[in-house]
Amino acid sequence: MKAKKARFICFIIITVIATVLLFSGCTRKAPESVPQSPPPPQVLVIGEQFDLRGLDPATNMSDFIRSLIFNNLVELDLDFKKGSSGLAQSWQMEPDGKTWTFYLRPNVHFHDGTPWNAEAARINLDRLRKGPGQGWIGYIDRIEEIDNLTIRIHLKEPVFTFASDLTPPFQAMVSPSALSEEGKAVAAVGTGPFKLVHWEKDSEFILERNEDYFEGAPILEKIIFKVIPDAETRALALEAGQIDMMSGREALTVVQRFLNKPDFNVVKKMGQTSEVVFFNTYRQPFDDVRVRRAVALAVPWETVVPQLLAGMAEPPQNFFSPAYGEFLQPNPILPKYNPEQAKSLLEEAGWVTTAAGAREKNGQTLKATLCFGSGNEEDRLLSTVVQSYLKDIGMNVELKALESAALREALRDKQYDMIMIGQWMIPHDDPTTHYLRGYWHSKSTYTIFVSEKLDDMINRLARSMDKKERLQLHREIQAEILDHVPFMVVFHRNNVMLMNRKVKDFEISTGTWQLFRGLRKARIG
Amino acid sequence: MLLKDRLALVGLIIIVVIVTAGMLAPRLAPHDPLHIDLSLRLEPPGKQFILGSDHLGRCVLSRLLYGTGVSLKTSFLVLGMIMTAGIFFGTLSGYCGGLIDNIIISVIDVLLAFPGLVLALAIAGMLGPSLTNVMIAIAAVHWVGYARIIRGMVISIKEKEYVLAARACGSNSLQIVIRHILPNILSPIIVLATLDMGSIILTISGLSFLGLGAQPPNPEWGAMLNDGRTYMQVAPWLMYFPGLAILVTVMAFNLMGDGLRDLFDPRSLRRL
Repeated sequence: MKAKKARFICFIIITVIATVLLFSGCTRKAPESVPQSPPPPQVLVIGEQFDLRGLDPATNMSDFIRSLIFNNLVELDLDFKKGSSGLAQSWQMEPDGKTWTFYLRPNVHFHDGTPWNAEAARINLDRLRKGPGQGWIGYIDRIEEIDNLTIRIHLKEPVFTFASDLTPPFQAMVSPSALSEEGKAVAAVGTGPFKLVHWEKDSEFILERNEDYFEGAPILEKIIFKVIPDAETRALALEAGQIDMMSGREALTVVQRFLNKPDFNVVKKMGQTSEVVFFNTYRQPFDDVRVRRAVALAVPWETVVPQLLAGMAEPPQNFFSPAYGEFLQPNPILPKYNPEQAKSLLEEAGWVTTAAGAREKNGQTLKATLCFGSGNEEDRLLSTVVQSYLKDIGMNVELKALESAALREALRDKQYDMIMIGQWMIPHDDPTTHYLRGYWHSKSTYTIFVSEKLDDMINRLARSMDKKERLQLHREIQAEILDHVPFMVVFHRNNVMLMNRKVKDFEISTGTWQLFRGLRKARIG
Repeated sequence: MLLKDRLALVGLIIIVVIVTAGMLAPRLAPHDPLHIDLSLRLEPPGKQFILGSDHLGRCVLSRLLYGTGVSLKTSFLVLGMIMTAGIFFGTLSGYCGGLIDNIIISVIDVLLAFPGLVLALAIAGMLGPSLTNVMIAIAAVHWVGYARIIRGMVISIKEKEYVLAARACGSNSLQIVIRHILPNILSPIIVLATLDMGSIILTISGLSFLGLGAQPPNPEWGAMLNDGRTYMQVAPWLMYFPGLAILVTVMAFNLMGDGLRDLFDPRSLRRL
């Protein structure tokens, strides 16, 4: 009898706890009051998705942190144009496209006091072209030191995009004193606006301002990065005031929540990257262009993207993000939602509806897998939507969530039917490498779709030294690729940063990897 | 006697209601649980959607109802696998004794030493995310407990007079196990299974919450909880209802298990 009584009490307690929990979510925290004076300490706490991961900007350091600690010879400004903020003040290409002269910025020192000069530039470029940057600037033949602040670089072949190829943060200039004999950076010593002072793996890393930065010292004294991989947890930490700022990268669903909160600012700008779905053009069912086109016609991105990611991403407009302005065709032919046409294309391709409602061809049912990144909230959401719309035209889709490394592997080994993933290999303002080394040339890494015609066009683009002809070729290549529908654009991604109201004057960049560069001018107010 | 134990009765009634609801889901559900309508996302509970709609405009009530079927079916299947393996290895080990017993009991002890959920996570992670794999993972971890208990019971029963009598009459081992031993251990095992049902449902939901179990768009309570996590503050009903469903179901099975335990064998099982 006693036991029964105890159990009854337990039952009551559980019910009470459940009720309390039910309503506890409804309470609202009072906004924390911000002290007006004295002037606030210039310390910023950022919740970051990735750890620092390493000290070498050319290999293992987090892509997003590199541009805070290091500078490149040539750099892109916040609007994704080659500016004069790099370590070369100006440069010049000879008409043959093979000889380039760079005039270096004077009076610059690395964080450890080592001077920046022609020798440092040569050591860095030699290390990159022979080692980690081989795939990008392996075409350098030799480097000549003209005087203390001038270098002349001779290329093996004409490369119109050479200056642009020097802009991605993995081509950063490291202090020669921090390089080991094997050419690895053993300390994070650069010329950038902030210095690395502390790093605790997978927990936090701290940057302090570089008082001698050549464009003027930043206002912020210290930036503390706390590593919080989960987007939802980062958002809660921001709300609780434990962090002041977080990136909306791969967390657009979280960002939406902050749009209408008075205590927080959302800073955004159309970014350089887009989200796409690649089709595996090498095996059934997507070896048939009609099936690919049918799928591209079956999903109404123009309505889905604004509804699900309102204000955070733009529905498909072109081959690349609008940030690529002049490289894009003015009127691209993108598939527009038309389920009836999609169904008739499938019929035409031989996939006919059976009694059970599924489509079949030669006894095989029409089905496909769709792989996506498991940590990517917006892709998870959109994959489910794709699955539902493709069911409407009679295609069964199985979703497969993969860790980011496995996703990359699947893309490389073509272990997918469809794969939703970011558009890569567009690290700077000229997307030539995207076709040549990324996806669309028979010698590229991912060979999503290749043809002799396309190879030929891309080769011509790579050799061309005429700006006008190049733009024309860019547009023709894009039109040729779009004509075969080897992929569909899902959305163009905005770069988004969420911050507490006390963070002032932060400007966000178009370039994904330069995301934090705007911190140089930011302040706590 | 079950009627006298009010709480067990409550548990039983809840279970009956849930099972019925799960079986009749296709008739009861007001909407298609997989139908996406983006113009109706995150609707609060109201006239159109009794329990609201989720982030893709799907009806939460319909998904819960279909999810009932998924949760109960998988739990019963897992239980079936566990019982089969547990009874087979438990009886084998207990009845045969000797070297076989030594080998089996060492395997069981090694497996028991691991924390169950971690091992299940590892197995499910290795096999890849899917509901079937999660079932395999849970069964692979849980059967050892049963095998151990059954072994103990078999050892104590096989020395009983009626077993000796059966042997003296010329029954072979298989007949003895099936006719005389199994019927005598079955009732306590059923009680144990009922008690365990709750924890199995919880584990399946837990692994689905972590993304290893049911894959989208299939409705499953744990997966629904995980989907709702992002919208916890704007649309809390996405988490309340699946959470309550898990809570109530697990509680019902525990209440009934408690009642059954008292009913069947109050002394020997209370110690377990």
